[in-house]
Amino acid sequence: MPNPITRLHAVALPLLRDNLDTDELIPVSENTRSSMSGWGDGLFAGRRYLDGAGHTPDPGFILNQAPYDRAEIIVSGGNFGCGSSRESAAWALRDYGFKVVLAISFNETFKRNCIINGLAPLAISRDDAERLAANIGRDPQTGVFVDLESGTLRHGEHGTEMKFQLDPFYGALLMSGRTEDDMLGALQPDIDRRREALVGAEPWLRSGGLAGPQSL
Amino acid sequence: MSGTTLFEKIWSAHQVGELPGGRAALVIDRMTLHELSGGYALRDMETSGERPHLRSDQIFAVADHAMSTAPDRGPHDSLSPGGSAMIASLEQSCRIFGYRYAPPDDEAHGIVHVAGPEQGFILPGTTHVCGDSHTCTVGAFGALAFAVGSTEVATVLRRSALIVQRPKTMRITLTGQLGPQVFSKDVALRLLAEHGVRLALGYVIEFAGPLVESLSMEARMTLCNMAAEMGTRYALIAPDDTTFDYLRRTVPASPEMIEAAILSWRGLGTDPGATFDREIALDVGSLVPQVSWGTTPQHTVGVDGSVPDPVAAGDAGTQAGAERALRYMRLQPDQKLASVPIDAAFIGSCTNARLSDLRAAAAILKGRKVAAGVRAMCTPGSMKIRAQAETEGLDAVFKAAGFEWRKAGCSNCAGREGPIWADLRVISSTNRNFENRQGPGTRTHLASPATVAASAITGRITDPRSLAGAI
Repeated sequence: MPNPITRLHAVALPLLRDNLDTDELIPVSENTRSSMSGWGDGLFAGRRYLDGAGHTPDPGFILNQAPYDRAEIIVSGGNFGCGSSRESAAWALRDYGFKVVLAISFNETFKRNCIINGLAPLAISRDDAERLAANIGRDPQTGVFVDLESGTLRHGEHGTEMKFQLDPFYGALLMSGRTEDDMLGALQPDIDRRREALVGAEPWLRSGGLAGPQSL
Repeated sequence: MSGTTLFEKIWSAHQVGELPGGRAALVIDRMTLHELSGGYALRDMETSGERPHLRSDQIFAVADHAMSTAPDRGPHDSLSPGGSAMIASLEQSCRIFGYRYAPPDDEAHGIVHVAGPEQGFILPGTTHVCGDSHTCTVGAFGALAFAVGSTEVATVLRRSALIVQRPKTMRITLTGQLGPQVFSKDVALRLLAEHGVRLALGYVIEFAGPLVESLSMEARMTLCNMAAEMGTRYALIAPDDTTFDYLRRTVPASPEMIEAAILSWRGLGTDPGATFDREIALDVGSLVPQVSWGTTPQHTVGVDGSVPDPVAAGDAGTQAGAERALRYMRLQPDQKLASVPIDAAFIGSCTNARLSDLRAAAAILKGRKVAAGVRAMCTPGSMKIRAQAETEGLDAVFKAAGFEWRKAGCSNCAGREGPIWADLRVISSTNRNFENRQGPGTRTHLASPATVAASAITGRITDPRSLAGAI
């Protein structure tokens, strides 16, 4: 179960461009770990290190510069998380310590992978994204305040309030730590009845398969 | 007059309950697994002693991503760090749970979205998931097939269902006839060039129209495959006689059962009066072969065209993206694409490595040699395709031209052969031209297999129409 998140005040990392893809978040070369945890040092590995697998930090990359190295919020552009559906893109962000992704729009699969792992994918307007990135650039230390309950964020305690979009259903999951898997558990008898009805009407759904253990 | 779309028919047949925001629990009929996203859940179940809910006829597993494509590969060989362990783990989990796993030298082995249909595993009207963004490829059969992450693979194993937010509907109507050496890959790239990679964010695409009806299943799969680059995880094509002929050959069921199924599947198509939330049309009559110039698939022009000037690229964000892409690609505004020399050529991937793709490339390669210094590689989409191609003598054509002839797998679509193309310029029959996708500093130009073959011969980006039939 992911940790619930309602409010956050943290340093934000501005990477304001469109189509930041999952290959960039976690490159192929980092993508064969056998566990679903421990992915933090793979985040942005294609750009973050001078020597690839050697993991010597490249001081020129923003994530290696204070205070951005302790960022928990990322600010980016449209179609964030496009490309491969690899959930490790969300695991890498989560395990590095990120809790919120602010972007102009999200790839659907990536957005779902965020929710599942307790990362909040919050959609903001292009104007707000540009204003926020500029403010962070001027004063990164102040940090960004995010409040999932009120649907607002601000740069610094007294900064201008901005609105973000988050589907209320996803908001409720993030703030409670509840999962869709739990909700499906409650529906399991209905799911099984529907599947049995489908197979009864369409026996070809049972074509193929092995003569192995049959659990349903 | 009202009617129902193909999407709505599949959705309502599988919907259980209603949840806020247009969501429902959807019964999931089938799942394909590969070693990267598919292994975690099975390993966790092995450890915890939990039994999966899915039956053996609901799962088809294959190791494609990390699997070596070397001609002498062993069952767990991989060039990716940790890859061999992931392959062995998927194989072992499948043995324990009684799921079908296609070992790498079996004809059933291949890229999951290529081998699944060949094994008759993809059925119209079903819901289907895989932990892979190109799962929409098999939407070409009229299956609601979509990408999920590894955690959702586990949820499907445990529940046979997922919570899904109902997408809006978009129909892309394609008309006109494709000219010589123009393919469904070119159609997909043209749609991306015109409408961008966010075209279908929040939508399910149904490809329809006379062109789609005229396409083979292979060409339809290429089209649906590229929907993943259009911002959606859902693409559909209504099943018709072309689909049914394919299924008669592949589905492991009695002829009587298949005919009964076909009778049912004939009712799946979108009703004439049905409406969509958005309609798009493209006539392909004047379409030329397309090639990407930048680092997102929407950075595409005709092979006879020039690299656009970022200054003309609309808003500031798009312009900044185009400028960054030109720096990465080491190209200049207004440079003719046909003048650009290439270092490597690749035919492979779930987009374009089926038999018709290999035939189209071989027709251009026959009697010719790859240009000096160009590294050329072909990885067939499945071992079955590889065997068919060898029966037709296509392997001899590829080899004589100077192509490496490898075994099936995802290969260097995603840089899985190691950094063999570091800092090189590659023309590729794949789906993504992202920075570093095919290797560190690798500059990818997306194109059809024919355009890849023609470019391999001349050593620069080349219109396949200039070589076809000219020898």
